[in-house]
Amino acid sequence: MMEKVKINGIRLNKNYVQATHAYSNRQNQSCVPLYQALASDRINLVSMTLSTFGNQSFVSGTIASKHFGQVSCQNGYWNCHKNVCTISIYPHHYQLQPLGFLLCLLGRQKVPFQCLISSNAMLTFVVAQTDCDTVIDILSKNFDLPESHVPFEQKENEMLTQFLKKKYPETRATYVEEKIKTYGITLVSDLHLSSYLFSFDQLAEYGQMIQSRDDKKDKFLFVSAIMATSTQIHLFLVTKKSLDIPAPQACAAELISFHGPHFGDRHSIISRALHCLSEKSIRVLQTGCTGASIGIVLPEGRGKEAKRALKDVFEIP
Amino acid sequence: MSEKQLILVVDDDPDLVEAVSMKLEALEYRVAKAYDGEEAMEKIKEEKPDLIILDVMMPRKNGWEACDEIKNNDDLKDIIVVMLTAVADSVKTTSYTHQDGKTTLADDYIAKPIDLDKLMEIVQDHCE
Repeated sequence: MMEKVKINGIRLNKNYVQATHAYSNRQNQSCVPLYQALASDRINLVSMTLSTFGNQSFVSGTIASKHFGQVSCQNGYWNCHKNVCTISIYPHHYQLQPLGFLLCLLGRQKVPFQCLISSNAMLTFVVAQTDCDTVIDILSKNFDLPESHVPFEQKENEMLTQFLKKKYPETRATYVEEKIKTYGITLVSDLHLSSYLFSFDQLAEYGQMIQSRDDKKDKFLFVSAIMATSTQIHLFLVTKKSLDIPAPQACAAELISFHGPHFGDRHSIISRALHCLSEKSIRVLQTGCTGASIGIVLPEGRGKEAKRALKDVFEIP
Repeated sequence: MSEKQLILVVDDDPDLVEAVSMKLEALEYRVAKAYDGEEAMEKIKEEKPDLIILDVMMPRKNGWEACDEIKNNDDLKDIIVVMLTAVADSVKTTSYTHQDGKTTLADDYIAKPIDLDKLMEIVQDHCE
């Protein structure tokens, strides 16, 4: 029996499509990455991970089902899973314990997920909607939740939304910005990016190893995971110092993270961020965005230049 | 600054709640967190905070409703309420009136997107 880990809440959002897109960066310009295709259609990505391996990139993005039909340039390179939902637990406080505990739970209960992404406070993962009730049940039984936590699923109340739109000017605001507003852009240097590729059957074992490193007060700064194949998981972990878990691939890295009002409701934000870095030929190792947070992992030494480039597009208070 | 005063941070964006909480904790405030107006009212009952940072648009109970409930309760009305709002341009005073005539009883506000350092200054000014 694992000891319960304390969190403040679980969040559930349904009715999404998970689209994945693997492409070579050497391919001709006609292969538009998923995030760019969605940006050109003005469609919001609810969450996204991008992983780069040499000249290969792998993007996995979550799109509202109601918007997916509006994507004009879906192509054969995309692999789509319909009827998925996102589940988030919060806050993680960057501690390895809740992360390891979550991975361990998902592994032990054999719950496959499409991807997992960290933000400032949340660990968000994507599962099939048919597994949603089971996962929520597992999480609520195994995590220690306060009695006053908010409902897992925050359904939109259309009547209330319409009422508030009429009553309060805030909801009538139109966000037309020369630069996209943020709460600030943070750059952290001297980090380690460790990459682990393992079978889904080993997920609980890796979760346990990660959880046990919490005793040493190690913390993570960014995490993302994708299903590399139907049976293999690729986990990317950014930490201050190298964890005592053998990683087949590891490198020095820097992390840029930022967070902005209404990032979660608006299209093109990640596309604009990645575009401005690409224009400066700054290679991105990993990207994770979910809700209103974006994390970008860069090779060592490129952080300051990347932050300068992002300042051209994003406003820092 | 009085040490260990309790600040309740209320927003439906856990990432923002966390960012604000970390800043407050660095200034040695105690922090309680809630993710909608209804949960905020429950937290207030558990322990009365010295100041509340209160978002407007939230599920279950929005910030205006929570603020009204606090300020119309004799036991709670002395709690300082700082609203997080995106309508700061129309705000003239700290007890401000909106276009539709609704008056909030909040003590202060800060415009979104928040400048976290400015928000800390506001909190410190009120908690002196």
